[in-house]
Amino acid sequence: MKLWQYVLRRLAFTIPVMLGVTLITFSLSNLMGDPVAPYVTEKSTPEQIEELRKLHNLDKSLPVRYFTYINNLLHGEWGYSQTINQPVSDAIVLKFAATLELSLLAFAVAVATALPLGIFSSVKHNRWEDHWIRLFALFGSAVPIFWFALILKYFLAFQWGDTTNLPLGYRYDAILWDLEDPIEQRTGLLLVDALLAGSWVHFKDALMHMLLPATTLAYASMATTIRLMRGSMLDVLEQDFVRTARAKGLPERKVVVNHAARNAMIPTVTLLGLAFGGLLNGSVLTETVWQWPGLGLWAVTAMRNLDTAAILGYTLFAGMLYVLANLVVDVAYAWLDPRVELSGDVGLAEWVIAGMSLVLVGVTWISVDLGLGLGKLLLYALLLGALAGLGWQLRRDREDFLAQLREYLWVPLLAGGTVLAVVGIFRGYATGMVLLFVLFLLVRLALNWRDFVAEIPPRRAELRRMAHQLRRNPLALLGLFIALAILLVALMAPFLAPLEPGQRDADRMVEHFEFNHDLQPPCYWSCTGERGEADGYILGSTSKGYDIWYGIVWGSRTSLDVALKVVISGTFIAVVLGVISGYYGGRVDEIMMRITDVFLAIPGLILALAIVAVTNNPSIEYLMYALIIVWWPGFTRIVRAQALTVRNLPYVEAARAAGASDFRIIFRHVLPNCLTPVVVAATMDMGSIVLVLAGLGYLGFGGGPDLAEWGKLVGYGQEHLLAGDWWAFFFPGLAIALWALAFYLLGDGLRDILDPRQRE
Amino acid sequence: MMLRVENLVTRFHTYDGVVRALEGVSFEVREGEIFGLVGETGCGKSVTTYSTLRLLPSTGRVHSGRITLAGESLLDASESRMREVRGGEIAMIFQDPLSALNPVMRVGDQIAEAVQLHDDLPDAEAVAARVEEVLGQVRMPDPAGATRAFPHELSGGMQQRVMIAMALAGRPKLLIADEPTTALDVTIQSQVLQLLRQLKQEAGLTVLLITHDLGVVAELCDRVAVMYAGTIVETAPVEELFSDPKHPYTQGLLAALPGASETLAPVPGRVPDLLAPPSGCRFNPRCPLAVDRCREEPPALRGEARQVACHEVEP
Repeated sequence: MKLWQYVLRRLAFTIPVMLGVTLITFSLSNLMGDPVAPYVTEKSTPEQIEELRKLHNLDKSLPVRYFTYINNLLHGEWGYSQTINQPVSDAIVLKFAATLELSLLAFAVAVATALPLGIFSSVKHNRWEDHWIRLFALFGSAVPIFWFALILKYFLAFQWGDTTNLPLGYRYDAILWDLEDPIEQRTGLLLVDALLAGSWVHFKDALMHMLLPATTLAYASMATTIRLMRGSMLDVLEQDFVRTARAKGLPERKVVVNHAARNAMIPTVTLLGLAFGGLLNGSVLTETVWQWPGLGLWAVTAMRNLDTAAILGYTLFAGMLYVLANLVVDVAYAWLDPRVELSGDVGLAEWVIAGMSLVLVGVTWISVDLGLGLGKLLLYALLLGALAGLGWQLRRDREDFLAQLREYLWVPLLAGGTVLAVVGIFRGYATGMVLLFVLFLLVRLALNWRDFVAEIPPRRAELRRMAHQLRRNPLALLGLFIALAILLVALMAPFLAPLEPGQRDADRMVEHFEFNHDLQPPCYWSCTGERGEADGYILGSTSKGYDIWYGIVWGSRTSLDVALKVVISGTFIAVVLGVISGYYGGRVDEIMMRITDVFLAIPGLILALAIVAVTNNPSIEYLMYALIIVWWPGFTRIVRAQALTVRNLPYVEAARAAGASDFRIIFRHVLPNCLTPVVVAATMDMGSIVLVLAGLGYLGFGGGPDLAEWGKLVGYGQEHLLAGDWWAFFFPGLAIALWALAFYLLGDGLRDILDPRQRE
Repeated sequence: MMLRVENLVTRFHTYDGVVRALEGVSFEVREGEIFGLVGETGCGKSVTTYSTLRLLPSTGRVHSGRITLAGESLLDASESRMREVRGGEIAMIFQDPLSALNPVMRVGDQIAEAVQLHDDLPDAEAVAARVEEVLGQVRMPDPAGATRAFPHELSGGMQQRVMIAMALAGRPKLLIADEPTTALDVTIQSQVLQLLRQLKQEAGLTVLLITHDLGVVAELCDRVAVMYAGTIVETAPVEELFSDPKHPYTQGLLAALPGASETLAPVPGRVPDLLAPPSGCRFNPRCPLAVDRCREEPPALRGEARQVACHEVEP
């Protein structure tokens, strides 16, 4: 198979995924309350309302509306954005160039610096150079991108702005470009346009404007790429062919560059798509900080104003971009690794799905009714086919089939249990459930006391080894220390920041409007007046007079609450789905993977933003739903991949050959061996979830405006950046960064500690 | 004398403690011969070769001993001199050719790399010609086509031929073959062994063959050293070793071969833990001849043409 055929095939397979994405955006549009409510006033008559409904197709059934939506999309009618009074499609075309230019520059810088750093770090494994680069990389993943941007803005563009001459925001100097010396903008990419016009002044101006935003955006992607490259280099350096290269007499530099790095590039490239998704997420925040007139800024404005058409259009477009980026990455992978078989083994089912989707899209493009008809036909055919298959199997060997069915009975039971558990967690029974689980463990322990005692000595040796590795890993210790400190703060919150008289809900900050325009500076250690009364705020205040110290202390509880609930319930879902999917494989796996594909096609923060913006509910529960929806697919993938690996290991085959039931194999063999990566990923995600939460909060979404949450505080704090009130955004952001850093360090350390290959 | 190893002591410093991998290993490889180093898995055969080429992992260290190649001490040589030695004077082939070849580099390029390192050739054409020459030397069918292939596109036997070609590219004096046939099918094994024998006869190559397979030793080697738990217990010409084994371990090993006697006769006991090896002779806990002296004093390797490290047996 030629490369271009491979590209075409991959392109065909993106169609079902994109259809799935439209299903998500369509569901989003139905999540919000009554779509015509914003147009209804007191004077509207029932007839007028009815007319509005007709105009927006709301009198029709859901399927009809969905196919109309697809038809419109295909004809380039993406709706009308009220915030900028333009059709969405025009707005996207207009704004895309700005985002693209920024992202491409950031991506290029990130990759070009990250690869050498990752290689260098792996060569110096466990020496101080390695520790510093790892810390630099982890810090890049851990700092909230908007906070980093604000720091750069405050110091480089504001405080030292006179020396650096860096602008405070926007894409170009309006006076120069619009009035004094307009040049032809042919591509929309200002750097390119300036070069085409041959104007150094314009080029310099555009570059100066891009410098800080691009740095902001690049740092996070760079951090991810460094970590990926370092990890795969460490793997590759252990391999036999590197030894061969050394035995040949190659100098070490050539061994590393020509042999190791070339191979380590392959897994890194496959994950560059991920870094690009991070870039899209980051662009939303970066553009907001720097007022960069791109897609992200427009989307945030739209979300703040419930401009549904724009929100959905942007979400869809971001999904398309991301899918496209992953396509490019796949092709690059196939090109880099000669072992990839381009023809691959693609199942018939996949071809059928791709083909049907293509036909469906084509037919819907022609007419809504035809598409609707075909869609119904396909659905019925699918259902009938499934039923017929079931019936056929039943007829063939009834006994056998029923016996099998009984063996699978635990699957729905498990799924039901999971749903119960997740619902329980959200309904506020989390503590009770944890206690119940501990009780269960204790009972099991009591029942198996003898086995447990027998296992103590080897376990102790194992623990000693872990402790030894922990001591050798100063960064993990640092992470543990920070995490414990934050936990302590959360635990001691009522003593560290007592409630104000009359304050009912500790999670909700109290507004002091008298400090709205004149922020209170921090008084640090001397916050008591002459007569011993409380005077001022320890860390100052933000606009609306929120006490920053109070917000940070109680915000730790919010972060802990959200992160724990999302991680625990998400892990439940992911482990159940992932293990079933990976262990059984086949059609179940196929369906599950396609579903995760669709969810993963939209960059996380953007999907969470869209959900939170569209539902527009100040309850913190909705925030958690949004985060779970964003988080489960990736996590399911991790578990599934692990289960798939374990399933094919000889000892599982041996268990199966010995006649063990699936249930037993899964719980005794597969699950325990999936645990390490799951624990590592869950630890890391404790950090990433808070980063997303803070990102949402910074943009002003989720949980209501007075929720004690770090991102929200940064959002309020930045309003006074140009008045020099740095503390207002600095301290809450620091809390976010420390939190994320702690869990990333812990996760990283855990991976090393739990990895048996690390034993030396 | 091609390669002489004297009293080599190599240790690994690990979390669990110091692994005494080699404890006074001595042997010599003569020019033009195939010298076998046999022993069970984990007895230190590979550590010996990595010590020779100074390619030990970071936890390993040579504590004492001497390794000389044609009179030159390798343990004292500079790193740049060692790079000339690797591939240029001592080349190496490994157990699993697929994992020992760079998966993303064409076979021809990998051989060309070795050619360029150790040969001063004027241009790319000369390099390409030399690559085809060594591929011809290892009886590669269609050498020109093979240069363009990636390792995974070749069969196991062809992959090992590529490895050998790569080793020959630097015109080495000594070829170390570390279990070169273990990962291969039996039919392909014999082809590779055949090839090694031919190379010895035609090119006068000296080979240090590392294996756990006494069959391979009998078929290919001129002289053999038997290793046990980091020490050499016996050195002998191959016929004498099989007809008249002196050391109790060698005797046990040969008796354990299928077909050596009516019933299988395994050597009793277990291989010692190298973290805490037994004092005195390392074989003493399993030895039928062991006396008190064996538990106190490690025996030295004695003898001329035949050497044995045992207090109770004369060479």
